[in-house]
Amino acid sequence: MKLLSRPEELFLLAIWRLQDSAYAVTIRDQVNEITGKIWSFGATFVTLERLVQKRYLTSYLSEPTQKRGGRSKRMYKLTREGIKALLDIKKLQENMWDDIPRLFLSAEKK
Amino acid sequence: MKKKPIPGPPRLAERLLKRFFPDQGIFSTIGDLEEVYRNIAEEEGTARARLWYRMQAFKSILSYFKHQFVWSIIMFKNYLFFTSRLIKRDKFHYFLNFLGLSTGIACCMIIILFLRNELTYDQHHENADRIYRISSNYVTSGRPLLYAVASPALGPRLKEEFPEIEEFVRIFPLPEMLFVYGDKRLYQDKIVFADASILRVFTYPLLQGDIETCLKDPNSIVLTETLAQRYFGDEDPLRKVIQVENQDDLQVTGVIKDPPRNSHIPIEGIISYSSWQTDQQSVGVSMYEPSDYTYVMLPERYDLANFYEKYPAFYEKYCKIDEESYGQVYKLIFLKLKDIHYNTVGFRFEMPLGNRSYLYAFFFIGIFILVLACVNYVNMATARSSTRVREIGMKKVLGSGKKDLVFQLLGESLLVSFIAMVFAYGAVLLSLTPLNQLLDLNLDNRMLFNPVLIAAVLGLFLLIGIVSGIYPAFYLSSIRSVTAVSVGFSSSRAEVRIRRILVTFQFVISIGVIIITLFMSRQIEFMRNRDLGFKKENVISIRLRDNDVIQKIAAFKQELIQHPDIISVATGIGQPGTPTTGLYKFEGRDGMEDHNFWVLWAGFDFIQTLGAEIVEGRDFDPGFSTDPQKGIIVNETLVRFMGWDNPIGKRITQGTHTDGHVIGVVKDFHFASLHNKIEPILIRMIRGPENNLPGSVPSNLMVRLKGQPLTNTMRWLEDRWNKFNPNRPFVFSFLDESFDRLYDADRRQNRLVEIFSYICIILSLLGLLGLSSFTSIRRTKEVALRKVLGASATQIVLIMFREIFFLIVLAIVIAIPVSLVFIDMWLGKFAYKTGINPLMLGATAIGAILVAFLTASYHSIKAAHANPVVNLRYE
Repeated sequence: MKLLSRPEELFLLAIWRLQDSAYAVTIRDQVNEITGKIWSFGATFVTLERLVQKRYLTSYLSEPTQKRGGRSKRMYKLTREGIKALLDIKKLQENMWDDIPRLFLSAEKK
Repeated sequence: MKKKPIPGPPRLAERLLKRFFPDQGIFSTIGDLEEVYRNIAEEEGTARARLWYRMQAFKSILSYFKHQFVWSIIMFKNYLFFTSRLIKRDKFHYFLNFLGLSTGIACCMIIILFLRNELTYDQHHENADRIYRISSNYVTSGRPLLYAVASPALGPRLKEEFPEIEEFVRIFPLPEMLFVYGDKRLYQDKIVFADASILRVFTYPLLQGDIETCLKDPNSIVLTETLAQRYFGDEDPLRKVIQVENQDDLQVTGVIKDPPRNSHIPIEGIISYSSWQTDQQSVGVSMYEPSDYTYVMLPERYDLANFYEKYPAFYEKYCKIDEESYGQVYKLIFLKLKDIHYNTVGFRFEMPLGNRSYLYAFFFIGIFILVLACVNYVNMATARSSTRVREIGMKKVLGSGKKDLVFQLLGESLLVSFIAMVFAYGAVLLSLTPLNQLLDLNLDNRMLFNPVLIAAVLGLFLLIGIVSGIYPAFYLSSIRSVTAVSVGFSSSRAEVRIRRILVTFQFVISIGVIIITLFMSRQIEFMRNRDLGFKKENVISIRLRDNDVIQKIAAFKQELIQHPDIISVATGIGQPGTPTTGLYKFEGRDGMEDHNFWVLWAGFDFIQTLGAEIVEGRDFDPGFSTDPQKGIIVNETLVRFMGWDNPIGKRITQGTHTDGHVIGVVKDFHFASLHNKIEPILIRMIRGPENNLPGSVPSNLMVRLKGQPLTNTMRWLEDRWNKFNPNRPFVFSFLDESFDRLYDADRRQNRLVEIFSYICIILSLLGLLGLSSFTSIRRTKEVALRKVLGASATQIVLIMFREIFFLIVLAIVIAIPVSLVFIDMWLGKFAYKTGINPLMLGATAIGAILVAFLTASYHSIKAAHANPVVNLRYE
């Protein structure tokens, strides 16, 4: 099982959330909002590109819009592998988290 | 929402982004950026947005370059590493390569320097396009008689009559003069009389002095920087006074920058024209008495037809009066300043000229050497291919594209030629001074740092790198990877043929050049040793330019003749090698004919001192008091030319003041160089102080010695000289040496071709070495098999040599006729020449074969002694 890195996970989640309106600008906004820090465009593009290469994402071009100076958006969409990878990592994390409250959180309460 | 439309993102930044991230023309990335830009603009204002956008562009482009750079460095390092490893492994070959290429580049650099120097003659004058020299054509009995000079009256008269002539300059070069300042007394040449306009017409930048006045007054002199420095050191030269013998003192009124050496008039000092003659005097001179180099400056794009249209009126006014008495029609010849140095008109009293064929020779030599050097590189690079193929094959297997390989190999040859260029630059820097002396080239060291030259050399380096790299690069990179990594790679037949052709070509050139060199030196030797009709050996020519001695010349002669080693002494104006000419009337069948023949002026005993022979009549004789005025000796050619059956007593006159007759006929002797046929010449007497008559004075005193000039005799002569005149240095030359000097140009050419031939030999031997190493590698297995089957080392060496032998024989067969054509052309300018010596050709051929054998044997012996087991074990 391949593991996603944290930024990758964040980006995939953001795209999932955004559904049909996921493209670089919205994705970056979303991630900025959640993490509370500014991601540079460079970092955004690199991560997106890597995810496409890993086949977790596909991209397609939208109709051009006026706001973008008449240019198309490159829209991103999760592939089945992408969804699977997200679910995998979620499951993994849940498994890891499962016992922790019982063992330590209670102990901390003491 | 907002009413005011937001301006688009910064144009430049956007264009840059588009350029660096084309994104197949969709620009979705840039679209993203623009969207964010607009968002920022809406929230925080346009200025912030624009700043942000620019930052984005800057950051992305910066990292783009960083990326490119880092990777190319890594690749470059890799290439360098490969190349350096190759060089280490193959030191010998690379050494030969560097040697060949450096020699080639160095030669080319020198040739570029030379050509640049030659082709920019007189071009430093800003008005060069508008300056013409007016030369004279005195049409005599229908034949042109050309003088480079014109009458001193011509300039001023032309300016009077032709308002379009902006300026005129008359220049009169002076013979060597003795300059005295303080304790410095030096013979100074390259001093001229010139009109003040010289500084306005020609470009001689004045460093000190006033351009309007410095050449106005009589006895003013303007010096070059160097000359001023020589006489006055650090003192201020202005208003210093230089004493000149037999002339008024000169006052320095200006200093000019040293003019470039590539000017047809070498000038180191300019004396005001008025020191020689006033304007009134000069316009009084007849148009038929040429003496001054006359230049005029015309308006831009002036049509000379306009001038010729008005010329008949001018002729009527100023020339017609003298037409009768001189028997000549006077015509003008305009020559553009830039064309003077290479004119082939054949003017009398011409300045030393350049020779275009010399330029072409140099140019072709340059090309030849370059080609030879490149051929060598190609040869060696492909010869090493057998060792390289595996590397290339492996690279291909590992995914290197053809393009990358071509770049790598080209880069390699560029690197090699770059290193060679650096070597060559150093070599030229070191060898320029000796070469200048050897070939009398007058090249300026400073030119080496001229940006034009540096650009040319860089261009040359690129050219060589690419030309010599392109074939190996494409050849090697196109080898199929499967063939390359498999063991049995061998080059194609076409490949071998090309290499053979290249080597044969090299040998044709070198053998040809060797033959040419040999014939040239043979001809020069022939000219030195030929019987000239007089004895040039053991004659000393003492320069007389001094009234003290000239006035007492009879006594001085008397004194000298006392010495036991001195056979005879005679005065003269000019000597064999440097005669003058003159227009005389000769008694022909139908009255007097005008002819312009060579003239030697002589004193008593002249014929005897020269060692020439009188075949008819008698020599000048002090016993005949009329000889100094009427006696004339002519040579046999003149007698034949005039068709005289009985030459003695024939009348020869000049103008109204000379009425002479032939008293003797001298056997033909070569008074000029062997380039020329013997022409008619007449010898007449210097009247001068020797005979207590007014008139010309001798310029030199010839002394014939019994044997070789000995130090003692010379010292004695100097002693006598000093007794007569302690103020003048004793200056002498040997007649045979000055005669030999007539062949300086030929000797220079010979030396040039000789150097060229050495370089050719080196280069073609390098090529041969490359070929033989290639052959021996290619035939490694064959040799090993032969050895196993019992061939001796000698046999193998001979077998290996057979191939090269045929190539060289072929080269010889081609080279001989080609070089003979060249030799024939070169010999064409000599009236007297050696024949072609078949023995010399044979010796050259055998020599070439021998040297080739020795060179090639280096590799074949190595191959013959290799252990066959090592070479066969792959099978």
